[in-house]
This record gives sequence, structure tokens and C-alpha cells, in this order.
Amino acid sequence: MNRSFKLFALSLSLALSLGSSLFAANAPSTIANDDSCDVAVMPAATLLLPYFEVNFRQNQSETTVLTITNVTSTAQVARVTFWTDRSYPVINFNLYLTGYDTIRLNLFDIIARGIIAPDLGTGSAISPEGPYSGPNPNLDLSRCDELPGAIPQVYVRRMQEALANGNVPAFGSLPGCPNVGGVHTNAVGYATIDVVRTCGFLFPSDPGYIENEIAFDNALTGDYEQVNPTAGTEASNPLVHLRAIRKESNGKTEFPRTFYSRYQNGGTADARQPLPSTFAARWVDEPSKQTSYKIWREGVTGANAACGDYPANGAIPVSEIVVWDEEENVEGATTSATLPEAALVSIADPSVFPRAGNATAGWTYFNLDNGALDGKATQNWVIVSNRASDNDAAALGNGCTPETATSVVSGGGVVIGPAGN
Amino acid sequence: MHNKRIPVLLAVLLLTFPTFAETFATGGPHTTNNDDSCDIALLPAATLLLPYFEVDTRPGGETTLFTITNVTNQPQVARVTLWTDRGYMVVNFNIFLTGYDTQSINLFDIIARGIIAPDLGTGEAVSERGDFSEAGNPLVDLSACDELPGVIPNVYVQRLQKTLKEGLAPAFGNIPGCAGVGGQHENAVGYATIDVVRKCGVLAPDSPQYYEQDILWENVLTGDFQQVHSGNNYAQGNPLVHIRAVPEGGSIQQRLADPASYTVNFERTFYGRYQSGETLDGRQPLPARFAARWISGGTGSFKTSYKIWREGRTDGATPCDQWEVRGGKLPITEITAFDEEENPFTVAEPICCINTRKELPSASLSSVANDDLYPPIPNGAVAGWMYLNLDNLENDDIASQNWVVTSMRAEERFSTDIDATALGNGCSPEVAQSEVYEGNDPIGPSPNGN
Repeated sequence: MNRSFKLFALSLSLALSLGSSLFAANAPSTIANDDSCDVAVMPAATLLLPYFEVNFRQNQSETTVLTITNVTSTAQVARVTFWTDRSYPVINFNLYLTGYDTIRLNLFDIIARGIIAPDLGTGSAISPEGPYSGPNPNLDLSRCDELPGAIPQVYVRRMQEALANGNVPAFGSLPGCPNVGGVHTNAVGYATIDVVRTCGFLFPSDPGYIENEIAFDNALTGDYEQVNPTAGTEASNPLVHLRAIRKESNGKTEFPRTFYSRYQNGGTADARQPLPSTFAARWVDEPSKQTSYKIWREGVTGANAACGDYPANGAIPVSEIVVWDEEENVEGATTSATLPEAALVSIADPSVFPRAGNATAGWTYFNLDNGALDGKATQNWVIVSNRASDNDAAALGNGCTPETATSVVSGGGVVIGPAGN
Repeated sequence: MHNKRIPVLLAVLLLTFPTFAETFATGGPHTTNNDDSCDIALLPAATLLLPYFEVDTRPGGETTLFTITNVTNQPQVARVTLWTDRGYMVVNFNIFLTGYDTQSINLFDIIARGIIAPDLGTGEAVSERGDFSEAGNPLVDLSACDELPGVIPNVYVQRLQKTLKEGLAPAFGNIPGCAGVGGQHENAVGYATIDVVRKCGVLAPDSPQYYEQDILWENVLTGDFQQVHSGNNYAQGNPLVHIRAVPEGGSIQQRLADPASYTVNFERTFYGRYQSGETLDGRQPLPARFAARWISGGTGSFKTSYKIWREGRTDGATPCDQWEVRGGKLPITEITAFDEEENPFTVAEPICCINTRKELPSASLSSVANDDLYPPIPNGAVAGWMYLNLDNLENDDIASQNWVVTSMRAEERFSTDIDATALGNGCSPEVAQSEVYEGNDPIGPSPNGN
């Protein structure tokens, strides 16, 4: 299949004068690090945990464990934010990571017990520093000396109520906010981890966060484990590594939109790579093994969202889902499914995966764009979860790929396949 | 796609040229195109790498399964090649994939039973074709693909087992025997490559002719693997390594006839070693440096191993007596372990008259508790991360290629595989030993400009 779009012809001499990593014609256009729209497992400025689930009522039950490592010699501050499955920002906190530091967070400790980082917290005054760890002149550590290791109980209860019942209780002068998340047995949501330059309190959705707090160092790597010791299940996967890419001289990025554009009225100052919208993901549906998908989606709320805006993030339209069996037959297809911002959904759920056949395995085509047909595909991520293992699904284009219309399977004109180059 | 932003510097030039690509002469990033970088990402690819497999040839033991999917509507042929842990090509076979086809392969079936694809094989004549799958692919010659073998003759199966378990390739027909082409293992051990090709031929990637006659440049395959031990109830899975052809597309004739349109801008490619350093395959190269988590011991009795694939110094003409050195003992630049309190630990510096150089073969599974290879942790720490600079120390300005999968098991019941984090892409130059080893530079990600 020839899907190559030929690059415009520039003279080699001109290209060489513009930079060693830019090629005149042909491909790749760049061999530099941190210079494309491809999301890869490489040190990043933002880590996304697409879905977490924690039974906060019972220890040794379902929980999600995060590990974050700073792979640089200089200190970093990471702002961790927990969001409901409708992207209401519930709580955030800062982690101080000295050079080469690793921090593990069991979300059960945080959501059930209110303990962020046993036992002493993570502040710059108490974190050990290795012999090759150095300071970061770009950080303002004035509020980082003793970051809280424990969260007051009132915040813990608020967090539990928001993540399990979708209900944010009134707190002090802050009004309550109902229906900001779905109702679940366990605490459910997603998390973002950003490199920032201060130990401040702003959320990524707050005005001023991008302008004043976010940093651009691709310094973090991380993974998660979804564990249930009682059930004897464990699955792990890298976090989604989103690199900040911008021109050093003026701080501008060439991405048409970024991961946090929705909180900047479409602006791109965060310079984070955007996520793709189309995916190919394997499935198995057998008595001993049944696939579920962990799906993260970009919601419709932006900065300064009101309480009444969040329910819309609970049922975001999906452009198309096609379920193939292993004999290339269409098991089922839909253009009318909806999904929230963070979900764990079984291949056996007919509301999302209508299947008329009896196949026990195949692959699923996801076009998770929200169908707004605004020229830009919305961002998404898909993880194939078989309880014993979590694997990222293969993206069929990068996050800079335009939206894809409905395929021929569902009566449209698009042939399912990788995006054009 | 249309250019959304055009650097002013080029605006006048661009007025005279068609502009389809999202490239930016002075921007960050320089490209927003698909299949236009040196970054290894989980996107449809032209080559899939299974970095390590291990198969107990007795039923009920360890085995590796992999699944490949053709995510396009056109038929494709995938050439699967099994290699020893020293990079010796043992066997290859073709899999015919109709449009949107998925094929699962249990390596136990192949290595122990000689069955490639139960029950009827994967040939064009016997494969199902879905309603949305096209009959033909103008780039693929299907004339020899009608009934691909589903069963391998027993003589080949015996050869396969002997080579993958004992490192001894028996003589076969006019092919002489060759000892030392792999390590000796209780199980069959090696790695596998899966390439899109244009016909159901027999050439292997270790033949220079493969790149002129068989290989294709279609980024259409995706896949994953599972390592399963049914007796011990372990199962862990991970995506295969997705290596894209850049630039994509064209037949070999088209690419050779129009080199200006198909210039490969990589300095070296995944298969460069089999082409005397040429880059005809167009495959992305793999990186050399990684950051990988480790946990060892603790209340959960954690065990961490690394599945590591390395680019050997072998090719199709390597003499028998060179496989051990060129494929089995590949030097390592640096391994440094950090605990969770940022303390670094290294292996001992060379002492007079004692060779302390660390080596690994082309494919291996090694435990972090192996003090002969990984730094001992004298302070009792049970977790941290490992810095692996796996360049082969040739000082040729090009970092050798590698891949690392972190493989963890705990409490004799939990197990996971995840890719380690690459600290640069495959186009990043080699990096010398760090300041931890009395070098000059701190450990960290590669600079952005290669």
C-alpha cells in the first residue's frame, strides 16, 4: 500500500542550513529526539494514568500502584492530579523528586488512608539525595520543603465521595457539586502527573497553571500495576508518556493542538504531545479469559467548567467501533456508542461492542473521535486488559492526525487502516 | 493533510511546490507526520520483533505465543524468522494474512510439534476472506502462497530443537553443521522477527538478496506476545516491538528507480548489519540506552528479570567458530543500579589481570539478582531502577541496537512484562560511560538534537 505523501522538495543545502536534523526530502524528516508527534515510552513531561480503580473500603483488594522515576540528575517537582471519570479535578499534590529518584504510590494509601508517601512525605527538606543528584535552577522550591505525607480526613472523605459516587460535598465556602463522576463500587478515575516548577496548588484545568506552573522537562518515566491480591490478579503497563516539544527560542510548538489545549481555549502553551483517536486492539472472549479495555478520552469541559458541565463527560459520543473476528468477518459495528472520560469496559458489553457472531477472538477497530467533525480528532488512549496483562493498543495514527470519518463497514467511505503519512 | 503553519523563511519557496507534509523547518517538533521519525512507538509497522522467546518442548511448561494482525484491507505476507540467542537464523516461514486478518502462533506448536498454523495452514487458497478484505495487493506476488505449509517435516523440527536448545545446527543436505551458534539451555531460546514481504519466498533477513527481492515497506502489522507457563500458572504479555519502515511504500523496483523519492534518512537501520551498512530495508533502528525498574525480594518475594535483545556482530557469512564471540558475548558499556533513595551501585571497575567486562548475547533473560551481571545492592534496598547503556563499545560513533523488557514475578503467582523506557531513539549517537563510572557526563535522556 502506498500511502506516502511525498514531502516538498527543498534543496539539500537549504535544509542543512536550517538544522542538521531536518532533511530536505524523503523520510524521516527528523531523526532528533523529542521531535515528533509519536507517543513513545521515552522520558516525558506529563504521564497519564488512563484509568485507576481502588477498593478503598478493603485492604488487600483492588488497587492501582504508580511508580514514577526522575531519570535526570536534577531535581524535579511532579504535580499529581486525580480526576473523576468525568474529568472533575478532585485533588492534587506535589512530589519532590531528587535526581534519579523513584517514588511509588499505592492509590489505596491515598484514597483510603490519606497517606501520600509513607512515612515522612516527599519534601525537599526530608528527601534523601544521592551522590550524583543535583539542584535544578529552574525550580522554585520555596514551598517544597515538607510536602504533606498525610491528607486531612475531610479531604479523604471528599475524595472518596467524588471518585466513587460522583458527588463532591460542599466544603467551607466551596459549594457542593453533584454528578461530576459516575457511581461505582470502587473509586474510579484517571490521573495526570506533570513536571512543574513550583509546589503550588493549581490544577491543570485552572487558569494560570499552564502560564505559571507547568514545566517542559522530559524527565519522568513511570508505570502502573493494577493489583488485587485477594483475587490473585495483577497487570501492569507503562504510563502514557507525553513529551513536551517546543522551540527553545520562543517556546512555541508546532502541534495543532496539545494534550491540555482544552484548558487553554485551544492554546498550545503546554506543548505536550496530543494523543491519537484511532486504535487497533486485540480481544479474546473465552470462559477462562475475557478482554476488557481501559479507555481514556478527552472530555468537552474546559477551564472554569461549572458543575452542570461535567455530566456531558460521562457519555461522550464515539465515532465508530468495529469488532472483527479472526476470519476477517465483522462481528458487529456501532456508531452510536458513548463512553465516559475514563472507563473499563468488557468486550462482552453489547452497548459498546454489539456482536452478532460466535467468535471468541479477533481485534477491535476504535475510532474514538467524538464526532464533532471540527477538523481535529479528539484525544484518546486504549489499553487491552486481560487481567493477567495490560497492553497498550496500537494507535493507527499519531495525535496530529486529523479526524477520521465513518468507515465503509458502517456505511461511510473510509477504508479502515493506518492513517496516511 | 495540509500544512497548517508554514515557516516564513520557506514561504516563498513553498509557493512553488506542492505541500502535503506537516514538516517545519525550524519548529518544534520538525514534523507532525505519521511514520516520519526515529521514535519507536506502538503504531502499525513493517517489522515486528519478539525480543526473546522461551519454549519448553515438553507439554505443560513454558511457552511463548504471539499474535499478528494486518490492520489494512489488502492481503499481506509476513515472513517469520526464528533466530538463536546468538542471532543464527534457524527457520523461516511465511504467513498469508488477508485484509484485517489475525493470526496467533504458539511457538510450542512449531518447535515441539512442527505445526505452524493449525489446522490447514495459512495459504491464500485456504484462508478465509472477509467481506471487507480485498482479493489482491498490487505490491504482493501471491503465486507461491496458495497453500503455505501447516506442518514442518520432522527432520526440520529436530534441527530446530537442537539449534535452539543446544546451539548446535546439525548438517542438513549440502548445508554443513555448525556448533556454537547458540547457547545451551534447558528450553528452546531465541528471538523472532516478522517482516512484511512481497512474496512467499524462502530468503531470510541474513541474506543481502532479501532486501533486493523480498522485503516490503508497508507499515501494516501490529502484534503482541504472551509468555505462559501453564504448570506454574504464570502469564504475562507485552506488545511486540513495532519497527516502522520510513519512508513507507513502493516496490523495490519503484524505490530503486526513484531513489530521490525514497531516500532513507536513517544513518543505519534495523537490518543494516546484513547489508554491509546499507539502509535498503528502511527500518527504524533501535536505541541503546534504557531505564528499567527493578524490585528484588521484599514482602512479595519480587523477582525482576530483563528480557534483552541486542544487535550482534554476525551476518549470513559468519564462520561457525565466530558465533560465540560475535553473537554470544556482546560487550556492555554500563549498567548502574539506583535504589529508591538515589544511591548508585555499579559493577566493579576492571582490576589488573581480571576481565570484569560484562557481556550478554543477542537474546537473553537475566535476573537482577545475578551479581555477575548486575550490580550487587549492599545496602539491602529492594527496589529502584537500572540504567542500561547497552552499546557494544565499538567506538564507531553509532550506538548498537538493543531492546529491554522488564519482566517481574511476585508471590509465585503474579507476573508482568513491560517495555523499559528508552533514553534516546535509535538515531542517538553512542554514549560513553557516565560520571558514575568516572566518565564525564551525568546519566540522563539523550539530548534532543542527534
